[in-house]
Amino acid sequence: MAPSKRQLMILIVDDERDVLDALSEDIQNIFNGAIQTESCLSAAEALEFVKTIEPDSCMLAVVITDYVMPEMNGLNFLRELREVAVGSDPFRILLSGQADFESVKTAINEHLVDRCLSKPWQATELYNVLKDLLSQYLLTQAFEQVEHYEKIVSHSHYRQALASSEQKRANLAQNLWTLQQSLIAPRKFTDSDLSENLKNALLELKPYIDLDQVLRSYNEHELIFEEGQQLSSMLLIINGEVSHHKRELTESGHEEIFCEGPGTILGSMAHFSQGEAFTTVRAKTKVDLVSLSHQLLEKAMASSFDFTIYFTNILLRQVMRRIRHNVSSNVTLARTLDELKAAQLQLVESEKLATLGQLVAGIAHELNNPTAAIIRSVDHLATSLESIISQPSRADMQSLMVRSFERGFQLEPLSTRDIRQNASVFQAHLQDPLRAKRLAEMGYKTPAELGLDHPDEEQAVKFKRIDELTSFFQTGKFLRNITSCSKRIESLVRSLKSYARPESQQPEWCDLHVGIEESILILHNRLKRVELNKDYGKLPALHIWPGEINQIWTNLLSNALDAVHEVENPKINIRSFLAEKEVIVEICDNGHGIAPDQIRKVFEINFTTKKHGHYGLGLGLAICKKIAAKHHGDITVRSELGRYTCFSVHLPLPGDPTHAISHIGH
Amino acid sequence: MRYLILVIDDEREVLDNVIEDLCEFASLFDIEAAESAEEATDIINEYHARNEALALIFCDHIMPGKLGVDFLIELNQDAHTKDAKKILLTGQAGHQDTIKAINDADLDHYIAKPWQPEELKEVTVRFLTDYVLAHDENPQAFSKILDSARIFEHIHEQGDYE
Repeated sequence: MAPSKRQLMILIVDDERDVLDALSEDIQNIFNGAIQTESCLSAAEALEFVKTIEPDSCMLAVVITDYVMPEMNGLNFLRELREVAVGSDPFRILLSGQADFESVKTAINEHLVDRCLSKPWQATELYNVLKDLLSQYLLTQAFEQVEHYEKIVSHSHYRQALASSEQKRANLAQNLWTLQQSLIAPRKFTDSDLSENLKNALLELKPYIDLDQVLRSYNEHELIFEEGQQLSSMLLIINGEVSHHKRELTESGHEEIFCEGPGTILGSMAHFSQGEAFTTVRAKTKVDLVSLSHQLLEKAMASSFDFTIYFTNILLRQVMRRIRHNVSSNVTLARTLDELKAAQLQLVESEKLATLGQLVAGIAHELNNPTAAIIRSVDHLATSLESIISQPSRADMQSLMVRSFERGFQLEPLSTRDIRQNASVFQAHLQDPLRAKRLAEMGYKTPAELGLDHPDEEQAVKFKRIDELTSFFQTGKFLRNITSCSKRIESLVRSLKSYARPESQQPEWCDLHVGIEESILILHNRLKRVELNKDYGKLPALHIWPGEINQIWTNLLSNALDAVHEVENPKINIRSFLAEKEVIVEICDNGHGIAPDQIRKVFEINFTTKKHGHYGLGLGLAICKKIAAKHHGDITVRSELGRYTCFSVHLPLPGDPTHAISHIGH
Repeated sequence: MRYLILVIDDEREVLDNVIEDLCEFASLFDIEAAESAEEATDIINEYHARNEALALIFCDHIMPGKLGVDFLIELNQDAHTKDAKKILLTGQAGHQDTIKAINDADLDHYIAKPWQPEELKEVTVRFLTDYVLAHDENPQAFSKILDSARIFEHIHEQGDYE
């Protein structure tokens, strides 16, 4: 949208009305009334008028003033006008009647006037002067109004103005293009190109900057700046390589974090954050640097477009590189952390599985015995039942038969040694070792009890009676066998279940002794060969994760079993007791012990003194310690090489003392 | 001539069942049960005192006190019991222990628990036959319950030889 037209105006100041009128009339004639003229009879009046001009609708382009006026002459008026006409800058013409050289000289020297006119003026001269000034005014101060005053604007002026603005625009475009090319497509420069260019740009600034003052050289290994040091300038590497070091990493043995070469700006982070150096920087080779202080930068950027481009480019490139480096190291770190976490979980799981595998193998062995006994007992039960069924029922034997069955079913069997001993009396009588033993097994002490001492009775009849009773006894015995083996299997499976069950989210109130007994049951097979002494004290129920705590017992017992493997009289003692504010369970063995220099390492991951044939990963005690810590407890150990090892598990008492006291007597 | 069959197992239920499985041999052999190696030693000594030799032993491995394999090694080092047929009846002897038993105890056989009664009987017949053929002057007396074919073949060969 074209800007609205503002009125061009010429102000004429003269103390003679005739002059005012003639001049005004001439101007109107010359410009066909396109220019408004204002006439004032005194300087004071003119100054008052100028103050009332609305710049939105009027443009005061030219002021014509007489020199000789009462009160204030033309030059003083122009001086005053300079103060008043702030914001607009009209051209000033001095109109003088007498050739007053002094006044014209003053006017020119003080830049008070742009033109001079002498009275009487020539119309062509007036036209030329005004047209020149008005078109200059329009082109320089009110370009947007040119279209409204086409006839006034001189063509030569207009062409000049256009050409100059074209040139400016072209220069600007050229600069923008260069900037874009250099900033947006920085790939076209290599690092060394950039630093070379920056160096050259700096060299071109030689007239403004004393380069000798800012060039620095360092020898190999020389310290350039130290981490934490306040930096007053950035350092541009011209030649050579530097290495970055971080103090906390140096302490842990890392030599350098990274290296940088020519074209790198050091200390940029410190510079822009006005902070301390982030790393320690040393010369790796001989290094030449330019020290770019804030003042130097300001000066260089103001003086050289090239410098600005290359410097910005290098800085941007470096920041990008650091960000990329940072992001990629973060990614690497996060990935490494994930991998470590996974590996740790896997290790813990593996250890759990290894322990579980060991236990399952043990349990499988443990199941063999009762399973075999049940399978065979069923066969033998069938045989004895068959013989019972096939015999005619005998009323006189009824009570003896029932008694035999009950003895077989209910009584704890006599030891094989007792049976052998008791059988001898029957053997002497019957001369039949198998039946003699059966009688002893059934609990008979003398032949008289069954009338076997009767001399008249035939041997075959006696044997038949013994066999009949044996069938009843065997039926009871194998039933009892099946029952007790089933119970054993059941408790084995139960203990395995409680060991392997997924841990609940919440701890439960548990009797420690139950867990210890379950662990003993699981390890029963291996504990068989060991003298196991239990000394359980009265303990309150504890708020624990039973599966995890059981893992401690199983681990400690298993370790104790390994320790006593080659000991003459292997012993394991389990003691539980109440101490002040805590429950202590001790598991001690008289095994090979732990050497003093090893004892502090037993809770470390991968520590193991076990030999081949064991499945653990050396995590066992480390995990036990962790479990104890989770329960706010601890595990301690004392040992003497070749004598004993004693682990103490400390678990804190619950805060509420009213919890039921439980106790399993053994 | 009578011979001793000995079964050692610390688990009474297992022991009773093995003995029951062997009861058909009781007519010609004395079958004894022991709950530990120590008790077994007493029985062997007792029978040795009345000149009755140990012919066959079934032994568990994992037991309180002496391990089965170690006991069999001891028997193998004793002149009176060296010739006895030695069988491990166990579910728990590891690889290493079994190799040790074969090398040092002249282990004759290994039966895993749970056992098949047919296998137990077949093994018993085979090794008792071996034993009586090697040690008894009148193996024919055992032909009723042992491997009669082998026994008669043996007698036949002996006759030819004489």
